[in-house]
Amino acid sequence: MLNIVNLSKEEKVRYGLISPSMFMIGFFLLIPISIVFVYSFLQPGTYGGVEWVFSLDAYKQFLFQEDFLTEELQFTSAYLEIFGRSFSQAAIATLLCFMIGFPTAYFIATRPANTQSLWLFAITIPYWVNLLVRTIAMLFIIRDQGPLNEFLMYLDWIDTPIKLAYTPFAVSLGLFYSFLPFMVLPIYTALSRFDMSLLTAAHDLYASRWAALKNVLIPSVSNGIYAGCLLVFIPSIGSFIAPDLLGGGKQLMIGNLIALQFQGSRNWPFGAAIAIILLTIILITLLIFSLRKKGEQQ
Amino acid sequence: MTTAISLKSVTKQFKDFQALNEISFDIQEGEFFTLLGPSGCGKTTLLRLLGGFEQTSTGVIELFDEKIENLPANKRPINTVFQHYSLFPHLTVHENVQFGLKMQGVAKAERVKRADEMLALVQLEKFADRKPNQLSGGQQQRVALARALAPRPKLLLLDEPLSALDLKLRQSMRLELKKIQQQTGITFVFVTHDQEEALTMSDRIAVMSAGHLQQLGTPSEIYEEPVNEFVADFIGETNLLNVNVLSKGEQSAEVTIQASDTEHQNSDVIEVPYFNRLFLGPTAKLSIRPERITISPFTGETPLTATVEQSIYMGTDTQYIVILNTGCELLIRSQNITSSKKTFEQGDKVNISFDLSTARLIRG
Repeated sequence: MLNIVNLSKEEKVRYGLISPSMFMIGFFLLIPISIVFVYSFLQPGTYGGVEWVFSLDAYKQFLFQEDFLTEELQFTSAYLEIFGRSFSQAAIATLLCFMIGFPTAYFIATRPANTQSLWLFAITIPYWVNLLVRTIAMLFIIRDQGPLNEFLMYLDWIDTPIKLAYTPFAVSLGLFYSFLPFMVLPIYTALSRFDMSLLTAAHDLYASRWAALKNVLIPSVSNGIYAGCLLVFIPSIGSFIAPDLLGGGKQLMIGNLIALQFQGSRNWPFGAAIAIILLTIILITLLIFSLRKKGEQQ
Repeated sequence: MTTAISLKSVTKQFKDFQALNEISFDIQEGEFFTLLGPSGCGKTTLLRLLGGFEQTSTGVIELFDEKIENLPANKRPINTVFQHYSLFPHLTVHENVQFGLKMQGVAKAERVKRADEMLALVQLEKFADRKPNQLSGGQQQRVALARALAPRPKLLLLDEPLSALDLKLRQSMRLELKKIQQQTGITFVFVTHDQEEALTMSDRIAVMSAGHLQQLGTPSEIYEEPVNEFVADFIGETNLLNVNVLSKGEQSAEVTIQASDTEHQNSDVIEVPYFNRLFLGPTAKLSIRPERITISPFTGETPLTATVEQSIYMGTDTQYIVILNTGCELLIRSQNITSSKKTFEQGDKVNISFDLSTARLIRG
């Protein structure tokens, strides 16, 4: 334990400054995760909640299904498919974010210093509006009779509306739109620290524009790209507003699956178990990435 | 001798500023050529035109008789050592040196071999696997040199590469650069504002000012026969005295030194050499290098007597500022050949003399 009496004044100030954030993390992150972790090993209560009996059923349920007649456990891939779908849609959203976000960040980072903050400010303006409202707005834009399809038909590029709303692509589009600034900001930060004269040097050494981008710029800002991808990918996987509204709730994603267990299905332990499985997969992925990165740097 | 690069009436116009005005000269193959001038004189712009980082407004640049002014930088067989080195921080020293070869599509084995050779040339073999930020400024400078030399360019551009180094390192790098240039036989175009650097390393120097080429010549030509006041003043230190030209001969002229005011009239006529390619009006300037003036104890009235205004001991020499009997100020540098050599103090009356053949008459 800390001996508070013997701390120097400087240390007291330091602990004083850090204590609110430590308290917030402890109280609102560690305790809830611990509760979820504990709940995942209990049995569901009939009307929601949990029965305090230890059980691994929630985890078994993720991979196996009880046969109605024989009560034998049979392997089922239903939930794995939901995981797969969530990962692939989050990956598409991350890729879209990168493809749009990187040039945007590059554009901002190469503006004169005094206008950069204005551009960054402009990026954040849509985020003053609630996510739900923005997602519904997007649905209105892309639906069959929405302005996008009307415009394309007006141009005679298409005869019948393109089916965009309530498709997996719409979900990815919604995720992309929700999380774009999380890609732009870290890449912008990395780019603003990048010495643009290195591109001139690459050009001098026979690199074409594309080769300079691939061999010099992108490797130099890889940390920002890595951070941006994580910041988009992780919340995308767990999000449930975009899949629910833009996907029409037809194709479950992990977020919806978890929400469903706590609401309609009243199977809290199963919901908790899915959350823990997702958390574990993400943590392991992060660990592999950071170990690899460490290996590269040495 | 073959002409490596030829500039023909090269002009560079920025929005409202003419950076280069009708620059024409040739650089020979294997030459150590220096562009010298104060900041803003256009020397860096000229280097950027050669490298392909800027486009010429008008004029032609030929590299071994091929027009290159419209080629982009990556298509020119010209490499640059940048002022701040611009090494790639995410690559090791060895990978940095390989970069140009890799972009040219040279096979890996050949690339590694060439990079090894280049690192041996700059004596950095031991540092091949380090990252640039683990090297000192001097070492980074050598990596930048090795990286630019590795693709064996037809022309190497050096943009004030020594300016970020401390004095001792700068002096040793001068000799090393010159040695490497002679070993590789590559034509070097070196940009600097440091006249000492230019004089010690160059085969020829182009002195530039305000977008114009002022003088082109060997270091001794530039120092001994400056064509105008700017060159005389910029290269080394000099005393510039206003003179009236009385008559002009083939190689010398008779002049009188103008007094700074009417009280100090001195009508002694002196004969000084000049270089007859110059037009000389009724007034001109006489340039006398401070180290070519002899200062001696006062023995009697001679054409040039003076009073010591300031005396500064500087180790190898003592610097005096004296006021001539004509009222003009003169800077004198007197070598301290022996430790017991007589020095003069402020207020001492002295005689001044100089070998007239070392004085130069230049355009006023």
